[in-house]
Amino acid sequence: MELIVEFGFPELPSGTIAPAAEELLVSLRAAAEAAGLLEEDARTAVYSTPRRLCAVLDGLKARQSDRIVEVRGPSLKAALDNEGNYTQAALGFARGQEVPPEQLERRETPTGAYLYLRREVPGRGAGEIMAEAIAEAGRAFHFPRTMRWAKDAPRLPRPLGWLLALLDGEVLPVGIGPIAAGRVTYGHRVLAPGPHEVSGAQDYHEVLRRSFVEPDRNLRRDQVAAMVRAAAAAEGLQPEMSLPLLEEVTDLCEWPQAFVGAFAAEYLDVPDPVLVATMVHHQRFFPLRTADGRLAARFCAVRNGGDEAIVRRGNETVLAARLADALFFYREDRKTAFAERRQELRGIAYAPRLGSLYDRSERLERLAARLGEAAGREDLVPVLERAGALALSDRATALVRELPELEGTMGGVYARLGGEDDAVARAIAARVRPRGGDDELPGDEAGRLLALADRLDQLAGFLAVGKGPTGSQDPFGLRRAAIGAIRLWETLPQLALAPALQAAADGYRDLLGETADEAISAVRPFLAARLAARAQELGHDPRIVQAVLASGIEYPSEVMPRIEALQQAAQGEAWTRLVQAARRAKNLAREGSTEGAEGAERELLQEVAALDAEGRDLLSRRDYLGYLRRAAGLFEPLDRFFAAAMVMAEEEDVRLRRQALLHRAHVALSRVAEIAALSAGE
Amino acid sequence: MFALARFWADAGCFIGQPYDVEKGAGTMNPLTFFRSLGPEPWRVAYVEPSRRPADARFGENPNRLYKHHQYQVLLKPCPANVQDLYLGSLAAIGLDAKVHDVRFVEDNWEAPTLGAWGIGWEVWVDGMEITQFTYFQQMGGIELDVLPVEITYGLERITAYVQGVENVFDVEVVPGLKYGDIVRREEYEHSAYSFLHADTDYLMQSFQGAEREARRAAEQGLYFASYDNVLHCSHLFNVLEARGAIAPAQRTEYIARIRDGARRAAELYLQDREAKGFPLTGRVAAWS
Repeated sequence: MELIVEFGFPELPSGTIAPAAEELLVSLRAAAEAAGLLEEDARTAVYSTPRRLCAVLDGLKARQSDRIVEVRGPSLKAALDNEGNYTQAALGFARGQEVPPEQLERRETPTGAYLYLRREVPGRGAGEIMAEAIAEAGRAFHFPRTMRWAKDAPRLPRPLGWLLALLDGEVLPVGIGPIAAGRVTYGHRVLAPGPHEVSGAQDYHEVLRRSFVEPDRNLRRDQVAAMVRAAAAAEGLQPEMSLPLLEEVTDLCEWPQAFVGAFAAEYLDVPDPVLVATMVHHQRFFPLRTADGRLAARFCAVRNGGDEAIVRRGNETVLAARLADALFFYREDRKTAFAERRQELRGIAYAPRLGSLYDRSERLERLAARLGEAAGREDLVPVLERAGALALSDRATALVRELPELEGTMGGVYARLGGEDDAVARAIAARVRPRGGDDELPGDEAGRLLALADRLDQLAGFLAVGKGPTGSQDPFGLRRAAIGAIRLWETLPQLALAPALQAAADGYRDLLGETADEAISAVRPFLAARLAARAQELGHDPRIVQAVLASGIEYPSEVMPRIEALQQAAQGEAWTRLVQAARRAKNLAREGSTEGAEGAERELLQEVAALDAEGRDLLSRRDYLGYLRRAAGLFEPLDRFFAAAMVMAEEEDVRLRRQALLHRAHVALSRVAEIAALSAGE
Repeated sequence: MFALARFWADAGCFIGQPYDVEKGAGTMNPLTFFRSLGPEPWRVAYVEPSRRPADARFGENPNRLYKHHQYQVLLKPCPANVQDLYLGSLAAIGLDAKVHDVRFVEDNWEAPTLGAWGIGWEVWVDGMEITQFTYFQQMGGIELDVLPVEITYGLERITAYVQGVENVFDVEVVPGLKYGDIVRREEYEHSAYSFLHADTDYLMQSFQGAEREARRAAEQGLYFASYDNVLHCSHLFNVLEARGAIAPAQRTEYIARIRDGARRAAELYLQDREAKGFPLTGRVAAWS
């Protein structure tokens, strides 16, 4: 049988549509599967537009097969009296099950003899089961923001408008709040509103296409992309098509039609990033470029109906007004030399207790320079100091106040116009990147060092004054900052953790006094936790990750390669024995002198010394896998040592010597990761 | 405006008037603030001048004003065909959805000083935002059981758009008279006052005074009087903020103080209506 379910809404938030439609299908499919209704070759489909979520399940059995259910009653001892008649307990059981006592059976089980009832449960029909599944699906969505819209109805992102639910063309008896299921859908809000009757999945698609709705989201997205390219090509231009914009536009219309509009050439004086941000973020337009890559005074927009000439004129007017604003702000900004802007930061607070943005610019100036030194890039220090000092100045400009997403980018533009070195301007623009988890890292090292300084200063400040994230609340974006820092650090192999944290904490000495030191002890575990989360997201075993983190972080850039090496090395019988030996060694280890080692002790000592010697070379080449494989050989001498020598010997000097020896082994087995931590007992 | 009033009057709305206390949004008019609360039905439409000191631009920006005008509609309970009704109202002012591209783009409204929020959209016509459309969920800190929907039109923008001018000051109000001729000097002065000249000590004292009066009136059960003083507080806060006299850390505290006042008034209103047995329930035929 074929099931089609459509939830109809007034326009849903664009980012939530596709995942919700997928959820609807998953919910229905899971319910059908759990009930044993799903044929092996069942086919599924998902449709979505701003006004509908639809799932199709084709290949449902008409009913469940009948089942035998067995219910255990009281034990025979309790069920029969001395004469062998049923007791109250047995009669009560029968009454509870609503059967005459004659239907009860007696059965021997391994735990004694009991009364049993065998009951044949007829399979339920698909309609009944799927009706329940639809009601449940209505409750099971995970929309980020929902509303109350009717009494006794599940919270949804917008009031439910209609519900289409057909099983082989028959309406299912189900309702969501006040909305009862029916056999109609609705078309494009203006062009063919409907209602339109639907008989099944095939028909659904055809009815909607006739009603100016393309329900297949992938198809609609491809249509948008093709239309935009074609409209641009007709003007001899290329669209700048980012995937997020394409997805958003796809989810803002049901019947896309692309058109090209124009704006006055004088607005091309506005820097490119401002033009692009205005078009993309504010109007959802695709910017257009000429063959040589320059922005054209044109845009491509996608409408969802209306008369093309009228819609174009309206959109051109709106864009012109926005660009007039931007040009005005840009000219105002240019009246003040960029280098002087920094003074205005004194009047803008950064955060309670963490000073003004001017204070922060002073911290960035010093911190970026210290990170440069610590990373062995003294040559970059002049660039880092200058870029750090000016990095926040664009916060005082009118354009960034109007378009906050251009922070950093505009700093770079204005710095260049203000005559700063290109390297300084690039670093200023790079400071804000990566903006999110997938955003590209800055290309040059000065930019990455400044971006890292920015995040470390943020983490150090907020964590020192106890403003860390709690639960899902992260009001100051610290988790994102930490992930950014980790990703930046992966490209800075020479930069150690301790001096960087010290430098970040020192920046707050004037403002916070001794509290500044809290930063070091707070930022370290915070970064470690984000590192662990990131490694696990990349698919690494949490125990492997913990073992590596347990051995300490000296160079954050090493952590991921160490995890990968351990993941590869930690296999096989020899490894299991090594972990056990390492665990024993760790538990007994105690720092001390190994003077006077003899016999099995001596052999182990030599092996550890050899590992240390060869290992140093391997580690300096960052050959972590090589080190781990070499270290794995230690299990034999360790096993022989444990077999031959009693560690907790009576004589104190012998005991201390053996414990010291195990300590050296433990240290050697913890250089890439704490191997003992992999033990099942940990 | 006439066309909107006509349209919404035909849809059963009582055509109200602006409320004569300065405020930042049409939602703050008691015709919306109080009447959103409780189970009683309500339909109202009115123009509301909204003062937003932070948006003041000395009369130089084509779209930003210290004082702009909203056309405010509240429908409670929300009719099922509310979007179609709304599209009808656009057609009534010359924006027919058959030739214009009308979109409902997610935008969830929130007014922290009123303890209010809702779910909804900004409505775009050919790329221009002209309306805020909100299903209220909370007002005065109180969860709403009967769903009100608020439709707020930005009058200056719509008028400019319909007349095909890019600057609201160029809107012709009667042949030969432009909007700028009437309000430009006023815009300039309020901008200068809000950003440069307002005496912050006086404003803070006034804030405290109004806050005290709001509490005193509430103690007497006088919720309209109390609420007027809450509105004063809200406006004074907006001026103080535009003037740069409120540090970011204090901001939350000020907002909480105003919200407390709004909540007190809302609770008193509800108590009063409940004591009267929510008398409007079922009484106006057009609202049921």
